[in-house]
Amino acid sequence: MIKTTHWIWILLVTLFSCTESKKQFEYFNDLGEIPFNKKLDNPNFKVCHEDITFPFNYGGIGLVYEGEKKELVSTIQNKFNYPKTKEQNGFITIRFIINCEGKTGRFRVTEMGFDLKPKKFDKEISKQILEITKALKGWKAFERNNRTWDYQQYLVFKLMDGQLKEILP
Amino acid sequence: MKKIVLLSTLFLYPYLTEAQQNCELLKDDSDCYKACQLYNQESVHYQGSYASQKHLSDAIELCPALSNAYFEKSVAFLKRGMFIEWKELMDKAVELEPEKHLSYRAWCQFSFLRNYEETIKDLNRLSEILRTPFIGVGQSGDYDLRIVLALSYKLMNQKEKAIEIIETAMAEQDYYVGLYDYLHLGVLYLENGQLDKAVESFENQIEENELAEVYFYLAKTQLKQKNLSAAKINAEKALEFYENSRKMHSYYYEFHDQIYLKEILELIEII
Repeated sequence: MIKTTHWIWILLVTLFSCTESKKQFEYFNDLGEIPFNKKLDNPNFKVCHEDITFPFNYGGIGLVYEGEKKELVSTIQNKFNYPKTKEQNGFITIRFIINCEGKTGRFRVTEMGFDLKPKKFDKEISKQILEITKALKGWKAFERNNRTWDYQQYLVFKLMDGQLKEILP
Repeated sequence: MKKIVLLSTLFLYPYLTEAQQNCELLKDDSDCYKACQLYNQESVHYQGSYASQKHLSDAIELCPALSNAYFEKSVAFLKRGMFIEWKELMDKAVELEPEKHLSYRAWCQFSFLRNYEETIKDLNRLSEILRTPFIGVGQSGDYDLRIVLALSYKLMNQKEKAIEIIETAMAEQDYYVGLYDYLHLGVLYLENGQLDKAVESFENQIEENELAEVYFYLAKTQLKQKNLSAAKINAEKALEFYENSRKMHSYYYEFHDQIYLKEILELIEII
């Protein structure tokens, strides 16, 4: 176990780097943070703590959705219209923020092949997956110490011949 | 002060992934020795922070052959769903020391992405390098990697091959039974129509590690065997275990054969 004094040191270093990185880097402290982009993002979507969003799998939470993952998958599968164009293989990842009210925003889409190198899917597919993800309503804000916090979430869609084979994590 | 309290609340959870490296082995190369020491000091930072990434980049700059630094740098990307960046760094680690890093790359391809073909490629390559039946365990420590290989074949519709791999591994005298081995084997038998063997495997799983999942699949098997009274008892047990959080769970990924409340309730209704 790491001693408390070590953690205090970690926190001080974290705070220090946080201040520095605001000036020089795209993220404040965590490399998964998603800064606001006026070309992509809804300005009405707000986060409680702009400089502190942590990944969903930290903080002892994991994926939390109303009705569990079963409901999440079933909602997506029911809405997904299988494309006419086959030969659509690989992964589409959508990263986004769930804010302190359990609302979602700042969606970022990445497309890649099974070799995990960037590739382009049929635009209709990625657009459809993005819209379905944006419409998901079962997310919950992370609660700790009687307050709610913002966090980073991602979903991975594994496609084989245009068929939605897996939704992860 | 508020910020310190907040950060301490939120950031105490990320765990560190790699043990300290023995830098004395690199003493003849002063840059790599320094890089190794830098790498070992990385654990003072929050994983995925700028400070942590910078620390590891500095180590890599000093010693581009330090595979652990690429590996450690990659993990923060993996946990944030940034798989392209993760893979680029992991590939570098594997290129430098395949025998050390192939197991982790394979495990992540399996558990985070269900990328079965790539998992099989990595594990078969590792097997060729090590030339021993035992090729390691998954990062979580729950799985002998031969079980991961078998499950990858299963999910590519090669169930017979999957069963053969698991049976061969578990027949070894010094095989260390994992937390879910008998469960996965039982489900394979169930899906393959070998119902008596499935029941036997689930009973072994109950001896090793009782979970909602094992009672759920046992109930399904008994339902197929038309043993309704036993199926009902075990489906109810599955629900009880589930409600008491005695189930498969990870903050990072979904387990293969993991179940959810809705499935248990549907099974109870059918019985």
